[in-house]
Amino acid sequence: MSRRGRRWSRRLVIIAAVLVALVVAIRLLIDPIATHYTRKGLNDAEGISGDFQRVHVTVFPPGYEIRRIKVMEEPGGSERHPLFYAERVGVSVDWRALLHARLAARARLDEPKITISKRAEAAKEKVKKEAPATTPDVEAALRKVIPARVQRIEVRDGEVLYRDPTAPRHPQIWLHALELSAENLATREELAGGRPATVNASAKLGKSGDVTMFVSANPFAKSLEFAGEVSLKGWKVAELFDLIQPATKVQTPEGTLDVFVEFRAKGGELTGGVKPVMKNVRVRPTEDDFGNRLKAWVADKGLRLFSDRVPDRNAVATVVPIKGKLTDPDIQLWPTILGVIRNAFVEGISSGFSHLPPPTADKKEGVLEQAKEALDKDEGPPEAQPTKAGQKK
Amino acid sequence: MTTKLRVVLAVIGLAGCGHAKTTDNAKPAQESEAAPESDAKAKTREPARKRAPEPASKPEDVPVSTSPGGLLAPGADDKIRDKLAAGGFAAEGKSTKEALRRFQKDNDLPATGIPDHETVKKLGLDPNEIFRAAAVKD
Repeated sequence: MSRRGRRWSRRLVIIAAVLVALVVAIRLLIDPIATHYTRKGLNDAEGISGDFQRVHVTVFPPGYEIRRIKVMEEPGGSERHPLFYAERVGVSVDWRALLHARLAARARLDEPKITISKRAEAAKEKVKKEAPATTPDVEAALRKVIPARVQRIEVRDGEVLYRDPTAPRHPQIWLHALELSAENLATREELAGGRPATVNASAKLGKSGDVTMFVSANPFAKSLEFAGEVSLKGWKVAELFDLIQPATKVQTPEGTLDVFVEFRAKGGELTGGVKPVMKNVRVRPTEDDFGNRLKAWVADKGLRLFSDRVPDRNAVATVVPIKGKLTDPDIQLWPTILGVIRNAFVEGISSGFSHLPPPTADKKEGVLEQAKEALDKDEGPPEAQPTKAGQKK
Repeated sequence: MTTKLRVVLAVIGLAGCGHAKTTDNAKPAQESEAAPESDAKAKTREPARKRAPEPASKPEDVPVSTSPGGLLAPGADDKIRDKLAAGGFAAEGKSTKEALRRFQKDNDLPATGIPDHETVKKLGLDPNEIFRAAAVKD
């Protein structure tokens, strides 16, 4: 090799060594820098405090991962019941999209846990006063954010815990084994590709209920547009003890509850229905005085009277129409009650999404008219009543 | 000369309207209902449309749906079922939902029992064929 050739090869080795040293330096520094800014972000955030085990950043593919993150509400939050905890949260960016000057990301949350605690009345009033009474303009809010598309968010083995520390027995509603996938969440209409954003989920409610959920949404419609369905199957009503007993002094030691919900929001109007189906539910008093025994007896007989009296099932069901503005949904009473009676005596009970959402009457009907139609075998299920006279949605 | 041209254009316009009325029976009802305008208006509108072509049509968004099936293309259900059966996930007497859940669990996906883009890709199917796509407006 000539002297010139040797000089060039030496230069190449030096350049390669410098590049390797640079990559190693970046690799060594990037995690502590990311850790510093994550901690700063958590400390500076208003109303929360937080901690985590470690942060890891990858350069190729570009990504960020945080382990054992814990976020507490301030003031009043506790380490034992953090607002949010996750074993691992990972976000990665699609580098091919970056080459086309687009930001496309994916996120995965492993074992996240969200705890929602009921606030005291004073705090609740404050929040209520601050809350706007108009339909949220999601599109305007998204326009303020950088153009990006979250291709997919995955939740694995998540938990949501609702607890009421203000009630006597501190009742809890526990949703766990939550598996969720959300797709096509974009901040600009052109990035959504004309398809709605979707959220699919399944979970366990308490020890016995199986929950599935599907929601599709178009945040770029003139007014927020979304639709979906939720079902709960086989929830043992004995699990409601802590919720029911303090207020009613009765308990439901036997039976199961299925709930089917279907909803659609368009143009600021919310329509849909809720269909609870109770099977073999028994009501018993928890305190042995005459008033409670009478209350439990009436409730138990009521359930038996309105059940379909199919052996080993004894189901009671109704369809509760939901109709009204997004900001003020109206759950209608009479079609609900008449639905129970119709299902018990006229039509029989069907589990599932049949009769959801309930039809809407052409014009507002009186209670007697509704009752006449509900008890007529040739008529359909009780109709939801228009929200304004002559208005049918 | 100009008057003659106008008369000719008007006659062509009227003939065009008449032709449209007799052959467009298959059009949706709302279109015929939404055109109660006078013939004179239609006459002036028709040539104007010819002079200025409409801008490129914006694709019509896939509407939101209350159930996952509402976002699937026709026949997509069968394709998913076939793939699940071929992979040994569709057991006798089990629903597609249950089979999908088993498949998702085996493939490190959230076991929701509902088909999403990632699940469809892992099944070896093309999401563009399985899910409804935005349609171009006529």
